[in-house]
Amino acid sequence: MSKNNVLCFFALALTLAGFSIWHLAAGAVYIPPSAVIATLQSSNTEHHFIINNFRLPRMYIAGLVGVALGLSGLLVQGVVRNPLASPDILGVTSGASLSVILLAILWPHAPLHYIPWAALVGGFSATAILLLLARKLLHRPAAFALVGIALSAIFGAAIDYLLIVNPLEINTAMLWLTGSVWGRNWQHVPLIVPWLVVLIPIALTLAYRLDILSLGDNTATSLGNSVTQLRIFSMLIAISLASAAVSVCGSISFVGLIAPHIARSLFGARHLLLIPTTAMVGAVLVISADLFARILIPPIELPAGVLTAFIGAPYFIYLLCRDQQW
Amino acid sequence: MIIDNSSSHDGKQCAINIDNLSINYGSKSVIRQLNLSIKQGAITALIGPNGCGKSTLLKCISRLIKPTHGSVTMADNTDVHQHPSRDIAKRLALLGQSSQAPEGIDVKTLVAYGRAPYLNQFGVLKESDHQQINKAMHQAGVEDLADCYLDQLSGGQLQRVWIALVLAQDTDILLLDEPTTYLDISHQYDLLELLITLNRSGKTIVIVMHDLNQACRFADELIVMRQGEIINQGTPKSVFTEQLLKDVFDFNAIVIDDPQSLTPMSIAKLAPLSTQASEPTVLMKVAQA
Repeated sequence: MSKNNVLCFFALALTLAGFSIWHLAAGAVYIPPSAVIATLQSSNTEHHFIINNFRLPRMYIAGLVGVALGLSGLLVQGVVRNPLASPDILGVTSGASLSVILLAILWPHAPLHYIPWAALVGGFSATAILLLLARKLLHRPAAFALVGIALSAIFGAAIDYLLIVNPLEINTAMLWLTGSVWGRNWQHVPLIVPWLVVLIPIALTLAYRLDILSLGDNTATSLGNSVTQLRIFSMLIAISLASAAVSVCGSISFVGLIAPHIARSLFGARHLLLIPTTAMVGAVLVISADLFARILIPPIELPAGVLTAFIGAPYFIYLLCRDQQW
Repeated sequence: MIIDNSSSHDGKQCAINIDNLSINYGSKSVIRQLNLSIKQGAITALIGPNGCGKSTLLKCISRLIKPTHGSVTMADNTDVHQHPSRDIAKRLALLGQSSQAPEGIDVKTLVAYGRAPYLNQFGVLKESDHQQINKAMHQAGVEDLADCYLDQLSGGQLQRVWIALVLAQDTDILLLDEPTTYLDISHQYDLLELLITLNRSGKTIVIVMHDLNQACRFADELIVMRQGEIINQGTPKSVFTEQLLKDVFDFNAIVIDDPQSLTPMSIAKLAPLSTQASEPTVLMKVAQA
């Protein structure tokens, strides 16, 4: 790690801390940052209730979802070897969404806390279908990603159809689909933390082999790696991370695409360094998106996913224009 | 053509034995029941017309393609496709035809990946690895470029960096698939001379080549392929004949001795095409006036 990297790392950590505190401070009742910090240190302040019961869990959820989405994108880009790839295009998000809509229609009175599990099942089913259809394309990453895009389109069409045919049941589903951290509380934290605790260490053990994979399939193979095995394994981890994130707050698009790019431009190409830094960038992105979603046009709260899309889509176009190879 | 599997005809040890090898792409058969042994410590050149299966054969030896039937074994009878790939990677290295350079890494980092078969999960380099990396960069003549980024390099420099990577792998056997293709003529000869130096230090080298005269000049042994089969194998002098060029390459040529190395070389037998040999054309006359 060079001196430059260390500086960038501290700057990133500071940014994350800054946005986290701002996130806790902003809202219908403005709490000054100094009071936020005091509240975090002791439980006997006047803002304790608001911060601990409403804002803190929401901030944590936003950060953790950002971590999961960012890492998922990093792994997908490493495996597909295309900087424009992201978990969004593999059909995970739309598969999870479809599953939630089906739940809302088939079982209108299902308890709200079933939604994350439905999303998880949907995300993994979409993955299973993708791997089944495209298993022979694993060594042609671009073709593999295109199958994912086609699958997404099919799931998307199914969602639209269901929403039009059953307009009454869609309210919760709709709110969930746009990717919002609204109303998330401590109950939702255990839905994502175990995934991260298990999957991040596994991702770290894959880091060096993903570096080698960036030299191309042939070089990676002749250096003694089983490329197909590495691909499937990394893809499963990426998809689990994305599914976990989607299960908690719906589809927050473009974080999986952008976070790895920002990390790469700051820290280079080594995955061992990119894993922690992409996670932090992802957290900053979702926390700041949720922050601005709340304070831009109060008292209306936008879903965070709307904001990430507004920033993410132009960035995506910029990437396409800049990168002459594609 | 039947070749004894344990050693080649002149009693030298074999580095690689290929036994009854067939490779199909889908229903298309690319290599059919091929038997071959590659001599230890020699430079062997694989030649043949486009689509004859020479690159496929090289890819199969280096585990990029699995055989449909048959086996590829090393001197101690280890099957390269059955044995753990990391162990094979310590003994056999490949420089592929089109190596892609990833963005944002410098030369030393790239060469260090050659140590991958010897490293743990996290790729931590030990002192001995650093020594091997420096030695490889020295041999390939890219020490001065160590801190350069790959996108700053010329084609010739980049090819040398890839060579340094396979040298860092520290294998006894080196497989190269048309390594001179994108190089200009002087870099081609630099590279071939480097290969000879490496060969003298004990490496077995197998190289797929397009340029027949270069193959004759640098290889100890030629293997001639056509339509997935081996047509002939032996020293350039014994194999490279006018008849062979006609049969295998459909190429009308005379074969003479290279005046410098005394190895055989081919010269095309064609009716004069160039304007130098005929009367000046109308256009040339206009240009002169």
